[in-house]
Amino acid sequence: MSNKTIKNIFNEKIDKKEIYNNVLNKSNKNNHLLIVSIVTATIIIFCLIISINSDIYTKYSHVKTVHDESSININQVENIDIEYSTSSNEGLYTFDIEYKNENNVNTSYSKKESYTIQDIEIPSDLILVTDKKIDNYNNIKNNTIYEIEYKNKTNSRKLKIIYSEFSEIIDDYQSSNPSKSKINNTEITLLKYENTYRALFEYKNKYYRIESFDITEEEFITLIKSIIKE
Amino acid sequence: MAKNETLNKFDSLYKNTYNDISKYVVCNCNNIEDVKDILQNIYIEVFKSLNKNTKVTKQYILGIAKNKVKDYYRFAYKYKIVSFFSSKENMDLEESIPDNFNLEEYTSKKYDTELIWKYLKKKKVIISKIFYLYFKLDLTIKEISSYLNITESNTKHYLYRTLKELNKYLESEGDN
Repeated sequence: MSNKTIKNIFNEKIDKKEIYNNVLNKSNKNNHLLIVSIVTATIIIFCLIISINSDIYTKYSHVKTVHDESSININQVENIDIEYSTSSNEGLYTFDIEYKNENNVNTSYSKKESYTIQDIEIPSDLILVTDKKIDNYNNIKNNTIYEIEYKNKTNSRKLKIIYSEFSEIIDDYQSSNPSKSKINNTEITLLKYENTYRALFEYKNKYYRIESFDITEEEFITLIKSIIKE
Repeated sequence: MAKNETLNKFDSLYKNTYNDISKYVVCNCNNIEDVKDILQNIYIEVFKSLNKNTKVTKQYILGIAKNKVKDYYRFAYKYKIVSFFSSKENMDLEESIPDNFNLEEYTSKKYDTELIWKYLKKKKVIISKIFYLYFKLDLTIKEISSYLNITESNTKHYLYRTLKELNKYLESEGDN
């Protein structure tokens, strides 16, 4: 056994070149690992951001969106009673005239407080012109109805909302078996004659009859939807 | 820093500092077998520092070496399984066998190498340190005793006694 032998043992067991190569190989591996880690982390963060945003969106979109089950069927009326004709000063007012001719002293008008329905979508050009309560309507005891009317400045567009807690408002439309519509799970009857729309429905223990003149279909439906909330 | 520039700097540092750093590690390690791992860890750290544009000097590497030696022995349960015949060696042997290869000579030398290494590992760690410093780094007895903080007479004693025992051991193994 020579000195050289022992030296070679150490050269072999603690090989300078081998250590050098291992260092370079590991350093390259580390660089690759670092790049892969950064890319993976970026992807994970990106996915987290997307999922969080979609959760927020879902949460708030759920709050913002009102579930609206609407199916609109507007029945074209074959004819309509002359009382509700398209004349600018007739139709909607016939109701009043007929009413005033009643002899029954029990029928009375009263306007002491507002009976308007709050938070509804009235076309912006219309202003409130009538807001009254009518007791014993049609000479029926306790049959109270409320009448709210809107018109524009030129009297060309009109809207009347009548509602009662007693019974359905009498309506004399001529169409038979009209198809029903549904807005927010409430069944309504929608009628149209020329540029007059009419809606009949019951909502929260009140009976409504809404009639419009020269109001667009969209405005009319929007109004109905704003009355019939969830 | 460009990759080539880093590599060149590393090459230069490695060449210039290897002997001193390996000397430090051998003197401060608990087992001669750990030296290779520790040296690798040190120079990996050096390479990382070069990549970060850190100014790396010999003193800096020595600082790394101190930390790496401490770190290596921080965990008391660290152990290593050492294969007597590494598969890499066999692969190298299969791949490049020269035409004038003398199997008998090679086998006896290889056998001696492994026996000596095995023997040194069994002895006290200071003995393998002395052997490394004396045979590998060609240090004098005086220098070795200074580095290992032992007397010169102790150094001589360890060295010559071990050599004597080693020879006897190899002879007895050869007879078997």
